[in-house]
Amino acid sequence: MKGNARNWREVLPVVALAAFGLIWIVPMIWTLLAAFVPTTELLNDSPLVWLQSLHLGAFEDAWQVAPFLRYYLNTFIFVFGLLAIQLVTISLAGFALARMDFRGKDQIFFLFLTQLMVPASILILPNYQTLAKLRWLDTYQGLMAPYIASAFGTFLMRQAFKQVPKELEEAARSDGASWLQVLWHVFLPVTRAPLLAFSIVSVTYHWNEFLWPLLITSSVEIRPLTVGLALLTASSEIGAQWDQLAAGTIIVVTPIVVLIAVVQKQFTSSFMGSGIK
Amino acid sequence: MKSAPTQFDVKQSQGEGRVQVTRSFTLQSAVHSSGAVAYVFLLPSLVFLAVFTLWPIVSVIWSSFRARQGREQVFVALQNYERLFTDPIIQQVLKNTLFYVTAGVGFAVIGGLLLALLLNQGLRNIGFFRFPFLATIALPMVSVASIWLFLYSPRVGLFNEILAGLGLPLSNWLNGRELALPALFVVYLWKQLGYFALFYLAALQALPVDVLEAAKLDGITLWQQLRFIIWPLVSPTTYFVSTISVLGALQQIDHVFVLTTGGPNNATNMSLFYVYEQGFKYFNIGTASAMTVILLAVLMTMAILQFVYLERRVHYD
Repeated sequence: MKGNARNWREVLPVVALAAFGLIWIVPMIWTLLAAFVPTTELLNDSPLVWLQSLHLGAFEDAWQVAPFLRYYLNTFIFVFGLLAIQLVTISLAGFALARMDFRGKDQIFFLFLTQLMVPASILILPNYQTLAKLRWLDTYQGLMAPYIASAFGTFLMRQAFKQVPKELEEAARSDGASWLQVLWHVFLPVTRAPLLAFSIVSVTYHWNEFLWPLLITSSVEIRPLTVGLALLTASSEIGAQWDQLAAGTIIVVTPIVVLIAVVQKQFTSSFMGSGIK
Repeated sequence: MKSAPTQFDVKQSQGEGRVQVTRSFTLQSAVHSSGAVAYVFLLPSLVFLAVFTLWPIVSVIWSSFRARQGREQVFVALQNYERLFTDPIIQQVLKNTLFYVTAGVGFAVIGGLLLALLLNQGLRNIGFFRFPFLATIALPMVSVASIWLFLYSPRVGLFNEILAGLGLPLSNWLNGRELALPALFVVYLWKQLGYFALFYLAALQALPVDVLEAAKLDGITLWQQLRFIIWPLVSPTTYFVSTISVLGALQQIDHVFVLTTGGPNNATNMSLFYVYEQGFKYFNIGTASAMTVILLAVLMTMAILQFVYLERRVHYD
């Protein structure tokens, strides 16, 4: 339209981004189609026919083959139960490390640091053995146990608590408030942002977790969504029930996709923080 | 004889602690009266840290020097480690892992920076463009793998549909020795590239605007701008992205599970999957432990290097 050179400079990056986007979008759209269009029509007919034969049959089938409702419940209990416990442990530990003086502080700080260096997934073998000894296999506490102490969360809260002005703390203390009251009434209300950031990272991470739940769960009452989906995948491969598999995948990912669509900005910054992990 | 003085020491030091606490109460100082409370606050975390992070490190090192002999686990010194250099399957596993790590770093840095540059050109509705890349970060790897299993399927997959449409010979994708590992890697990249791009995006948005404006006025080319201005300025991010991409690549397992279970013929078997296979499928605890220890050593070295680097940067800044 204007100068050719300028056009080229402006158009090329947009085209490149669109190409990138297409590579990311096409697999998602193909999955949607596979779930809503019968497989034979998807492979043999034109997109016009696809639109006419949209149906929910695959979802009904998937819902019947795998107890997704139960899996949802299990994932909810695991993810939010763990989060509730973590919020307590990281607040307490973060507070102690940020605002209290005690012997062995440096050594304890270093212990937390170790966890930051060693991701839990590497330690599946010894942790499985520990769980077997505790008789915690196939239980919710077993699912949660390796994550109850969170160095990432503890350091996040420690950093946040350090920034709270000392006067606030001293005013509360001189009024005779206990440490727990100070933490609850003074510190936690002003550190909601890091608590939320930690929550987003924790929920996303554990919602998606696969290996650890796969190893330690064996019953439908404990097994989370991801493991349930993998079982469905394994059976689909044999029977080639692709529409069911696609439907199952959509059932599993929908809440997460909705979550990031709603909190896109918060999600971005939270996940960048988690890179420190 | 030996235990008596130790007990005495412990008692004495506990006593000292109590004395200190009492003394600080009399000083009416809020800060110094926190000693005992601090331990109570730390206790829940410390218990789980000890049982599920520290103890397993000790235990896995111990197990790595042992191997199954009949029904017993016996001490075999470094035998499990020696196998790492001789066993052809382990050689294959290490080769595959190395591919994932090196290709992972390369694509994370180049692809991540490129994607970030594209997202950072000040388009309107950038949230709309950013969404697919964010979505894959948040999706479970198991679901991502399921999606790609469908795409790679020899009979009904999208890729073979496209090849057929173009009149090209069909491919076996995940079942072929040559293509299986790269095909798997594409899945990993599809899920994670947006994550690496996020860090570059933040770095690009923090660049000094006047430098870029001055460069534009000087009429340098896009490539020169990238090579001599942007690249040096985002080097801390490059270092960081490299580190987390190595850590990430070493832990990849979920999609191996869903897509290939390490096959065909170990062509896609890698670090953590090998630990799983040896430990939980064949019950070779010693071999699995030795591999875990190697992974631990690599991860800890990486982490320490990162701390050293950050420390240095903090001093210079």
